[in-house]
Order: sequence, then C-alpha cells, then structure tokens
Amino acid sequence: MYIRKLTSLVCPRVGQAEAVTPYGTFRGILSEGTYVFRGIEYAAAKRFHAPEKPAAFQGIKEAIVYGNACPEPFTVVPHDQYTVPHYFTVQSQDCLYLNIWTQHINEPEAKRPVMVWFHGGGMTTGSGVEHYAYDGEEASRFNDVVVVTLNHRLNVLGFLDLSAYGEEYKDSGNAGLLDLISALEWVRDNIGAFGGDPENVMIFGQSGGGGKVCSMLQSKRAAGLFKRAVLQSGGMRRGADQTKEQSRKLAAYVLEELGIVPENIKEIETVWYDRLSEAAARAQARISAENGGKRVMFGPVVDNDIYCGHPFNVGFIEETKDVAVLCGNVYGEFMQNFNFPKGEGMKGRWTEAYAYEMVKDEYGEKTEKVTAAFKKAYPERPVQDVLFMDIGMRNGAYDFALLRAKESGAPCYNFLFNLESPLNGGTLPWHNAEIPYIFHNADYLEPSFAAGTTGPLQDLISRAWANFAACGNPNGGIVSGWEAFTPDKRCTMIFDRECRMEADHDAELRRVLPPRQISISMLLGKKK
Amino acid sequence: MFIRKLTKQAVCNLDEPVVLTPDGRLRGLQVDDTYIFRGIKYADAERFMLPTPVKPWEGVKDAIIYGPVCPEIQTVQPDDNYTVPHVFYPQDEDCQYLNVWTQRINDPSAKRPVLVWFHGGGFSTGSGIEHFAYDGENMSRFGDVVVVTLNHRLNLLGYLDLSAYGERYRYSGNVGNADLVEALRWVKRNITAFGGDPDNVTIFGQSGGGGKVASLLQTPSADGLFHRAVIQSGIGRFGRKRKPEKSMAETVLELFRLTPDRVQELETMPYWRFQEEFTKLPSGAGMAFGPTKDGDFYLGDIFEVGICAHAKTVPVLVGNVLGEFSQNFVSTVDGTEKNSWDEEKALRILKEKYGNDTEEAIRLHRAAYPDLPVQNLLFLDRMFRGGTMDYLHARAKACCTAPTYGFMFRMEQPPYGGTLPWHNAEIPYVFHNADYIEPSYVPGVTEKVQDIVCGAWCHFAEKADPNTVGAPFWPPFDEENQAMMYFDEYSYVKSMKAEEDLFNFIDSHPVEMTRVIRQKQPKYFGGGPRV
Repeated sequence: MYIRKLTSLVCPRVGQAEAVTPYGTFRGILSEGTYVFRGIEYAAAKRFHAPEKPAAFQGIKEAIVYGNACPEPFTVVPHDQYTVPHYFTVQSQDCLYLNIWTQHINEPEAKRPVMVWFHGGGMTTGSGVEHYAYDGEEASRFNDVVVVTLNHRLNVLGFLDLSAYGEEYKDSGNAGLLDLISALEWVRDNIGAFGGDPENVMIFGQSGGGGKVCSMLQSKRAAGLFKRAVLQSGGMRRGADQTKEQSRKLAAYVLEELGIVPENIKEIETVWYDRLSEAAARAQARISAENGGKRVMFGPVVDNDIYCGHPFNVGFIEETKDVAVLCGNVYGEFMQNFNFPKGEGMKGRWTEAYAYEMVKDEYGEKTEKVTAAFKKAYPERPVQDVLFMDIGMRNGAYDFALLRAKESGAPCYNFLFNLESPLNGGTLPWHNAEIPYIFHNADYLEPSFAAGTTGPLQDLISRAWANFAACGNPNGGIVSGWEAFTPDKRCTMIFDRECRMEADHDAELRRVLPPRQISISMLLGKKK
Repeated sequence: MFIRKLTKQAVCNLDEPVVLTPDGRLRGLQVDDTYIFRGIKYADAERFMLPTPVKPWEGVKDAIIYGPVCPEIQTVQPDDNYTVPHVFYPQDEDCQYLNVWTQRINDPSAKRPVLVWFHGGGFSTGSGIEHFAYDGENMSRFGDVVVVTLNHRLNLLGYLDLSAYGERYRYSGNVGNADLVEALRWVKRNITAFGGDPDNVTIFGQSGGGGKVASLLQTPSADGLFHRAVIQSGIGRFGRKRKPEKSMAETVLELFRLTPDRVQELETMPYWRFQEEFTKLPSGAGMAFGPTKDGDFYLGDIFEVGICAHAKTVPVLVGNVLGEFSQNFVSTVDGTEKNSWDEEKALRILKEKYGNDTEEAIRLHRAAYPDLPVQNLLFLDRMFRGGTMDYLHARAKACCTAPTYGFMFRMEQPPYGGTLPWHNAEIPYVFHNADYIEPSYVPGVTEKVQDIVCGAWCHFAEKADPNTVGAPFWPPFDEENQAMMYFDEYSYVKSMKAEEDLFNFIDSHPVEMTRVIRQKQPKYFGGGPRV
C-alpha cells in the first residue's frame, strides 16, 4: 500500500533500488524487501498520435511518485466509494506511466512471472492506481512475482477515429490500445532489469480492464507480447464493436461540434480538454439519437489489425490462440455496489415472508422456478440472495469460457467470487470485490475485510493468479483441484468461505433467471 | 488511517453507528473502536454568496464517504508528492463537507476537546483530506479528542472580491472564510453528539491553513466559536510585501472581456472556463487568493491593523519547521547525500552560495544549532521562520491576556540519509500518523517524537497548555526569555535569540537551489479530478 503502518525505513537512498534498464537507471524505493518503482514513463504521445518510445537518458531518474492519469470527462465521487475505495490522482494528457513492484532487480536470472494489470472504468475513466486495491506490493511479496500497473489514454483522447483526416491520425481510433501495446513492448524490453521474465507475461484486468484484455486477445499487433490473459467481470458481454463507419461518423460529429473544418484539423490537437470532451458528449448523444437511443461509447475500433472485433462477433483470432485464459466474475456485481436496489433495510434481517414477497415482486409467476433453481445452485444462500445476483455477467463469463474452450487448444479456467462481506449485515460481492483478494490487499480495506476468512482466502486466490501467470495453470501449492473449463466439463471454481469446484452448478438458474436491469446513471456521481 | 492493516471487523450497518444530531441522524462507521463520519454536509452556498446552514432532514444520512472538494484553478502533480503524499479527490462547487473522528458518540457528558483542522494550499487549493497525514483517526485515539477536517471554497470561488460591482457581492471576497465560520457554527451546534465539547474548540492549520487560523483570529463573526488557535508554518514575511497593481476581480473581468454590468455572468460560468482562461496569466496566478480586508468580515493582518481585542484572549501556538520549501524539491546535490559530505566538500559548496559571508553564516549557524552540520545552511527555511518570530514578538508586545507558545520542528527526516523537515513535515507528527508515511518514518524515533508532538497539541487543546509527558518544560513566549520548543529526537526548550540572528541573515542572503522535477508537469493542462 502507498499508505500503511511501517516497521522499517522505507525511503530512497543513493545507491539503493537502482534498476539499470536499456533506457537508463531508475531509482525506486525498497519497501520492506519489495522494490517499488512509481511513475516510469513507458512511452510518449502527442494527442491523437501513436505513442513513441521514450527517450533514453543519462544519470538516474527517480521513480518514486505515481505518474499522471488520463483526463476524464467526469470525475465524481462514485456512489460505491466506500465499497471500492478510490485513489484519484492528477490528470494530464501526459499520462503514459507504469508502476512496478518486484522482489528482484538487476538479476537477469531471476526471471519471475510478470503480471500486467489493466485498470477498469470502461474505456473512459480510471488509472493504474485508481483503487487502493491495485497496489502491487503485497501480491509481489507473497507470490514472488513482478506486478505492473499502468495508465493510458482513454475516452475521446484514446478512441477518436480521425483517420479520415490525415495519415498521421491513421490509428487514432485505437490510440488507447496502442498505448497498452507500447506498455507491453516496454515490459518486453525492460522487465528483465526488474527481475521479470519477458517471455512470461500475463495480462489481467477487471471490468473495462477485462475489456482491454479481450482487446489484446483480439489484436494482431499485441500477439506475442503476452502468454496468459485474465478477464475479471469485463470484456465478456456481447457489446457492439465500433465499426470504422461509425467511428468516423462520430469523429465527424465531434469536429462539427467544435466548429473545426477538415482543413484545420490540426486545431483539434490543442483544444482545451473540457471543450473537446463536451463536444464529444454532444456527438455521442447525436449518434445515439440516430440509433434509436442506443448508447455509443468511445472504445476500440475494428480495423482488423490493432483490433479485430469481439470474439462473440468474429471468433478468436489465430494469432493469440495459444494464450491461456482465465475468466470469471463475482456474484453480485452491480447489484451490490450501491446498497440495496431492492427492498427495505438490511437483507440479512429480512423475515422469510418478506424475502419471499420481494422475490415474488421481482419475478412474478416465475418465482417458484427461480427459487427452486436458485436453491439448487446455491443451497447455502437464503432465498433473497437471488435478487442480488448478476446473472448477466455470469452468463457472459460462462459463454466466453465456452467459446474459448471450443476454439483454442490452450487451457481455459473459469471462476466465480462468492464471498459475502459483513458490510451492512451482509453484502454480496460487488463489482470489484474480488480485486483486493487478487492483489492480496483485502486485509487493508474496511469493507473487504472479513475477520477470520480474508487471510486464508486471499492467500489462496492471489496464489492461484500467480500460479496461472507462472505456468498457465492456477493449481500448485495451496491451490488444488481447479479443473479446466472444457466443452465437455464446464468447471467453475467458486471462491467463498469454503471454496468448491463445480461443473455447471447453475445451469438451470442461468436458464430461468432473467437479468435484472440497473441504470447506468447509478454508476455515476453522488449528488447529495 | 484510511488504509491500514485490519485485524478487527469494521462496523458499518444501516443502524450503527448512528449519531443523533440536532438536525437529523447520521450513519458512520467504527474501525478499531474509533467512530468515523466522513462527508458531513455543513453548509450550502450559491457561487460568491455567503453560506447557509444545512436544513434538518428525515431518516438517516450516510456519512461514510468523503465529500467532494473545492475545484482548483490548477491541479498539478506536485513535485513533492513523494515527501508529502497527497490524496486528490473529485472536485465540485458543492464542497462544504467535514469529517469527524471520535472515541465516543451519543454521550453528552463526554465533552472531549475538539480540534478543527484547516488545510493548506494557500487559499487556493487543497482539501481536508488532501494529505494522507490529515487523517484524524490516530490523533483521536491517541489523545481521546474529537478531530474534524473540512473542505471549503477556495480561489476565486472563495475569495474573488466583486464588491465593487454590486451589493450582492459584498462578501464574495471572504466567502471562503465564511464557510470556515459556518463550519465552526456547525461544530458548536452538533459536536456534542460526537462526544465533543462545543466550548472547547481548537482551530489548527498549516501553511495556508495557518493563514486561515490567523485570519479567523481577526474575524469578529468567528469570535466565541473557537477557544485556542494553532498556526503551523502559516506566517511569512513575504505576504506583507505583495501588492498587486490590479485587483483579481479586474483581471478576471478582463480575461472574459466582461464589462462591469455583465459581472453576473461569472455566476454561471462553467468552472473549467476559469481554468482555461487562467492559463493566459503568469503561472502561479491561480494561487494568488486570500481573504479581503474589508473592516467588516475580516479586519486584516495583525502586522497591518494590530491584534484585535478578542484575539488577545485566545491562547495561540505558533511555529514552523527547519527546512520548509528549501527541502521540498531537493533530494540530492550532485547526486550525493548531504550527510555523506566531509567538511571540505560542505565548505566548498557553502562558499559557492554564500561567498565572503560563508564564515559569518557558519558562525551564526553554530550559535543557533551547535549540534547540526553546517551544510544544513543550504537547506534552511527562507519563507516562514521570520514570520513566526515576528508573530511571536507581536503577540508578546501586544499585552495579550492569553499565552502564546512558540515551536520549531527540526527533526531530520530519513529520505536520502537525512533531509531537513520540509514544508508539511510536522503534520504527520501532529496527527500521530508519521509511522504511516514513508518519507517520515524513522523506526524507534518516530514513535517517540509523535507521542510528544501530538501529545502537546492535544494538551494545548484540552488545557491551553502544551506541556506533555516526556518533553521538557515549555513556558509561554515572552520578550525576556523568548522560549521556544525545538521538537526533535531529543526535544529541548531554548531562547530563540541566536536563531533569530541566523534567520535574519538567511533572509538577507538569497540562495538559489536546484529544484528536482520528479514528474513532468502538464504541457497542456488537463485539470485534476474534477466535475
């Protein structure tokens, strides 16, 4: 953690924690045995241009402060700031920075697995330090792995397709993905100095970060830069890919909104960010209106090179078929981030009669079918818990695993994080709830910490991820019995107080349970 | 701390912990037996207008998430974000929120001292949670006190004096401070419910926060709302020299090409437009705000108008740190650590900076700090020590009925084998958080020093006397003895006379230091977390 109780000196010294890379020497911090490097510039980019390699330098650069994050169209206090504690940092277009936690430096033979984290926030917001849970120190120490987190271009800055206006903007519609690729190239070229094995890189991400992992799986340019991929609660739903046609239209509307004619295209490189962002929002609204209200977001553009389209639309590409995949989600997702979208008071104190009434209110005549299927899938849970399950995300993760298992010969694993938090007398795992466990930080986060359970469970989960990074298989040491997901046996590891491995435990539930809808506006803003 | 290793289940339920305030119920959380309430709304306000108290509400309001902070003209990555770890938080004009840490709730008999923290950042940036060090949990637990931190309006939202353009804007030059007064009224009315004593309130602040404390001492509407005052690195000599040619209001109208009759357009201008336009001004213009001396809301700086009658009855603790801004942006010189230098090297570098006056400098330094190495002369404060001393003299000469205490925090900090305490370095010690902050923590020493510093603050809050266990006797400042507490691994009390000679010398010998740029500053400003 950036901030946690210390027991030894943790500060920079001349001659200490100095990693010698091909670009120059970075001085980090030695934190109780872990080397920490913050804010290393991995590339530099002009607005809407492809990222370029950073310049080599003489002398020693301090890497003790996190780098800027990409500007966001809106940065509000999220409703779920308590359940998902955010660390907001300064925003600037100069945002191509990464952070490293490792147990070894200047030791080429160390060759530890490298885990590169892609943050969430759709393709619109967030940063590599946006959650306190993203801190890599504990996971690096516990598993002897190299953890990397990073910032890159997002929203209109990362995905505005200006390719119609000049060769220099050829790839601007996927600039945000090019940043990720250049970060992976930086890792390939430099991570050896930080004890990492450039031949053994895992990318992992959650929510939007899962989407980014998926984009890398579908990128010809990224192929070969990573060997394993983990998608957590993201990138596994049937979303509309941006077609070239639509992305160019969106760009044309943005230019119109800004009053910039194509001959003066250069002007868009210096427009004040808020002005650009507001124009982008108006352009999005126009296209959405034309599409009958369907939301249009800035995101990867299908160009059959940097991004080839979502696997649900086009299948998995050949170039990355040897990548091992681990995917899954959490029980509650957005049904639990914002307190109780159903019923009154704490669900743990509902009477059986009230619980049944609430379930009936939601599912009407399907109630009996739903409750029976739910009991079968989750016999340990009270009936009201069905109201707080995100079946949509679960279906996505299941279908993704199935497609991958069918199309790729590489291993594929599936999980469901199912640990109830003691918050509000019992809150099912919300969107993001598994992240502190992956990073071995759950004992630092108020709402995530369940006395007696958190310790062993985060040992297990974070070790499974590290094992997977090391060899494409989550089993090993304290982790055992997790079978791969195959078309014939569709296994899911369920993480809970008692972990269990099941095949198709919720097949019936997934068939009968209609997804509950949650409005996007709930995700945004807290206006008291 | 917000982030700390937990061993015990945090309690956060819809019905506990809940406090009953005069205006309604608030639900917080309990962590390791400390009650924490985050993001309590204490006032509402329209842009440029005085704040109004919150209205009573039905049911239970959540107080588990920090409230948004005031928008800033410029939120950049500070080069000292390592030495002073910052929390940047979403910005919104709806920013009148406070946070409370306490050991007791719903116990009217508890009557614990209340410490209300005013954050720094001049009067232009920052928030009540801007530094990790501001977290009140450990101080509350250590001293069994009630700690309050808050956000309020800053920069042109808090201090743009438009009074020349209409009676409607009469107080616009002081509404940022009016928010502080409103927060103190909230404390007066509500703090009993949180175990606090409304008749024993200490305001304390550092840098701009110290400036805020100093200005509230000269603010009639704040009289009686607080009972002790602490000013940390908040008084500089520099402030008294600054006299702008043009008022900020004129500058802003010019930026937007507004004639005076269109001034009301500023009330609805999107805030980012101010950010955009301010980039046309010299850098630093966005920081040049402060309270407006109007002889009504704010009476003015003591060096200009004297100490007002009420302030003379308030006990004051005032001081600063040894390095201040001479150490925030310096890590190593020539790639080496200062404490690795031999005398010869130190002398050579000193001569480059002080020339023929080097010997005089060394003599004065030895007299003031006989135990410290002479190379420290390169890193001594050049902004606040003089102001602190002037302030102490002014209080001593003004026949105050309440005592004044002076301090200097001189504990060398651990980065690079020894760095003089930078501007903000004492804050983790005041809040008993220094064992959580990387650049502040020295095993075995920090624990001891923060017990003493935090203890002194808590005692001062409780009894108007900072004397605390483990520290030498600390008498009030008077012209005869000029007693000063020097906080260090081994704290001591001494007359500040020799030190005053040294800092008068320093103030008359400008020395340029190399600044470390740790992070590229935005070429094109993209703003901070903001709406």
